[in-house]
Amino acid sequence: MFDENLVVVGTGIRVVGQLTIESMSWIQRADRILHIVEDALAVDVLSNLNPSARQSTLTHLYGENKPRAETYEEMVQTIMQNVRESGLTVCVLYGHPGVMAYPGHEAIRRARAEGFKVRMLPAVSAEDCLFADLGIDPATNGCQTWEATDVMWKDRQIDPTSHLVLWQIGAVGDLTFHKGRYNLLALPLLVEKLYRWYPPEHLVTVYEAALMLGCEPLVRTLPLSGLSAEVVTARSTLSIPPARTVKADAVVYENYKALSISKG
Amino acid sequence: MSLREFLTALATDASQLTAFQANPDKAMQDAGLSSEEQELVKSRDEARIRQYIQGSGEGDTFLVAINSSQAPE
Repeated sequence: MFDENLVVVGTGIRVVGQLTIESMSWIQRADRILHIVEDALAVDVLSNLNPSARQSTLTHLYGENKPRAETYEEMVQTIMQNVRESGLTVCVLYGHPGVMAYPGHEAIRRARAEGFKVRMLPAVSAEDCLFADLGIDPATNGCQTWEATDVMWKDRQIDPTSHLVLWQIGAVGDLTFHKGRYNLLALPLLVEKLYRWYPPEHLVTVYEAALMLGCEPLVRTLPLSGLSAEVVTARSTLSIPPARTVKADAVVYENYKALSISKG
Repeated sequence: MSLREFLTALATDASQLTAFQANPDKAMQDAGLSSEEQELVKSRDEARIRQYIQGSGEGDTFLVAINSSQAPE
C-alpha cells in the first residue's frame, strides 16, 4: 500500500484551494518531482512541499512554434527516465492530470508496461469549474466533451439535445505552442460546422476559470455567430447549451411504465 | 511576508485559508502585506495580481496546453 513508483497528480485549476491533501502528501514524499504548472506561484507551492520541485519543471520543453506532440513525447520520456532512476516519482500537472492532458496517461501506460506500480489521482479540471460557475449539472441533459480541434476536423456527430463543452477553443487548429495567442484561422471552419446542429443566434458561453483566490471567472455569452478570435484566449473553454429538447423513447418508455417500478 | 509568500501559504494551510476567508483584511495585515498588496488582492483583478506576483520572482506565466488532437487519417 502506498508503494507506487509513479504517481500523477493535479494542482487543480486554482492551486490555492484546489490542491488536495492526498496530492500534497505524495509531493512531500517524492524522491523526484516533475511538473507542468502554469506559473511561479504554483512552483512556489510545490517547492514548499518538496524543495526538489524548484528545478524540475517540464515546461522548458515547450518551444515557440514547436509542435506540442513533440513536446509531450519529450515530457513522457523525461518522466520515464526519472521513474527508472528513483523510488518514487511524482508528476504534477495543471488542472486534472488526466483530462485534456496527454503526458500523465502515457507515462502511466509506459511505466506500467515496464513493471512499475503506478497511480493517477483525480483533481479539479476546467470543466469542473465550468459546471460550478455556470450552474450546469451534466445529469440534466447529459454532457458531450471534446477537444475543439477534434470536432473541427473529425466526423463527430453532435447531439444538440445535450450540453456540449469544447476544450481549447482558443487554440483550435493550431498544434504548435505559443506563449501568446494561437493562430485561429481554423475557428471559422469550426463555427460553420457547428451550424449543422445549432442556429447562428444560439447563445454560447466563452468561459475561463479563475486562477487566483478571490477572483471571478470570465464568462462571456454571445451568439454562436459572434465566436471569433477576438473573444477567446488560450485559456478559453466553450460551453454550448442544448438547442432543443429531447423526446422520450416511446417504445422503451411504455415498456418501462408497464414495470410499475416508480409509483407516485 | 510578500503577497506571493502569503498566497503560497494559503495553498497548503487550511487554517490560514480559513482565517483569510473569515477576515481578509486582518489576515493580510497579520501577514504583513503592504498596503499596495492588500489593495491589489481586494481589487480582485486577476491579471494585475498575476503580473505583480510574476514580477517578484523567476519564471514566466504562460498558458499551458497539455493536449493536442491527432489529425484524421
